Amino acid sequence: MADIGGKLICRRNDNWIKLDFVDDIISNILSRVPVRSLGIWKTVSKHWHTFICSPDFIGLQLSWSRENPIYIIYPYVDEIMTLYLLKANGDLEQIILPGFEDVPFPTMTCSYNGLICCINYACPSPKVTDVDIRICNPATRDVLLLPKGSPSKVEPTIGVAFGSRVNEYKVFRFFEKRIKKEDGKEDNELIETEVSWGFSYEDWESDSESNEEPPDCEIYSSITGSWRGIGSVEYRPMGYHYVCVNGIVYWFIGTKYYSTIPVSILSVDMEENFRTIDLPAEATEHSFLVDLQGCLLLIIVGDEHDHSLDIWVLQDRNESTWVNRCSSNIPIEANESVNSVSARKNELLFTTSFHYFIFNLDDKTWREVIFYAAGFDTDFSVAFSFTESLLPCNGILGS
Amino acid sequence: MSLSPSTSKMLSLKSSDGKVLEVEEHVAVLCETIKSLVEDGCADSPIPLANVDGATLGNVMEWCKKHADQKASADDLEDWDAEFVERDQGELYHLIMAANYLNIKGLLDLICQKVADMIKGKHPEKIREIFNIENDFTPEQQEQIRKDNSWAFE
Repeated sequence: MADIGGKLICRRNDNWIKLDFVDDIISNILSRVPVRSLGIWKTVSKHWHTFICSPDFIGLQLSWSRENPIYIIYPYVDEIMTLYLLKANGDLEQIILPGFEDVPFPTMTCSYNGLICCINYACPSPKVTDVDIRICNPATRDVLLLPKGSPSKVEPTIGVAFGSRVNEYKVFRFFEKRIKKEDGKEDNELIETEVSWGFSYEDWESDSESNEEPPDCEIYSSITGSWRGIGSVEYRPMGYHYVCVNGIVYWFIGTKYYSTIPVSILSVDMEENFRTIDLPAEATEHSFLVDLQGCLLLIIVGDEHDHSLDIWVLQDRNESTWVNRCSSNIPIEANESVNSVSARKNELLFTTSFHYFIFNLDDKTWREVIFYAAGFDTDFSVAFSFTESLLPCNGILGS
Repeated sequence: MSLSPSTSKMLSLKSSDGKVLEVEEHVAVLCETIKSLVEDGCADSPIPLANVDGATLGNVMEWCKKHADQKASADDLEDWDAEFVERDQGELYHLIMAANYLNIKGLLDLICQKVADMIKGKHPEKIREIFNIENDFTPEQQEQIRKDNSWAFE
């Protein structure tokens, strides 16, 4: 019997296996260091360079990072895309993304696998309106400006779906195409959209009143690197607030005339199946969709004078089944409103007009977080949970 | 097979330098390598562990004993682990190699995290020293990689 043990141990003594082990250990260690160190250590040796750039290692680093999410905070400041990473120990790290020098009022719309999507209003011609869409990796300062989509009469809305393959994402873009007149010529008398810098619900509302036709949808895929139209779809998402949970994007949809208040949810998966979901309760203007460890949360904050908070969890997308997770009262002042909600492990981070609050979902307690960092303007910021990664924005691994 | 503490028998482990350690079976089976021997009924004689010296084996079994203790709370283990990894580089190296060889995921992850915390932010030259790596880049190649990854060198 000892022979078997002996053989087992003898086999493991073979040198080539031992070398294999060393690589296993190295990847275990390296997957736990900050991405910046990995960038520097690409110069250690050819082997380490190949190793750190390999798709396997990038995936391993991501899986460790996913277990240890931090927050990324974007304060609304003009023209420069300055982001802050809120580390687990409470430190803030400033990141200035390249390529945003002349970009007016960019908005961060999502954060997933270390990639974020930023958009800004663009006005390519007086007759057409558009948004520029950038996929960015704040950790590696990688920024990819997506190619232009089809011309649109109204400001397009978007949402990004991240698939189960780490390098795959799809950007869904809802727009209103130019109408062909009966004689087949393109209508040049497009409705002039007011030049609005950045998004506001009011702009959208006035647009939607004047345009009753269903929107068109086109999809950009990181695999093909191009847009593909899928024709008209039944619903148009309400603004730029959306979340991707397990490869499915969720947006609010409003009624035509009251589009600041959501009435249901539009969802689409990576296979491009659209589905609407009923809300479990009446929503308010201050409603949010959040990814909590792979579950969709619906968070409804009461109106101005009522700071009640209701948290719902989607259990079944097909049946619109929701469960009430908990309720509380958010400790904000009367003139204050919630800007964003994001989730990390068992907590929710609320950014409000002037404060940051963390709500612990287990013991249902609130605590205020106060930051001190040079040049950090805390007001009116948005936050997302963030998993630092080495993923390239163009989805091409192993380059 | 029942591996509960009350019925646990003793196993003999023999280190590379010939030291024999008597360890309770329910502690030793935290090592997947030993567990599979026990499950196959191959663990009757002293088990030779040709890759682990006596001192390291003692440290590894100390960790296993703590983690086999069902009364230890998660917080308790966390504090204990933090103290356990306060060792010099040489000891950590031997512990990593032993945890890898004996296939103890919890211990391996713990030491890897400790090493990661120790080395993060270090200069490439220091990394080469720690891991005994030869720099096989030409200065030009190195400069090119620095340029391609200028974000990391800011």
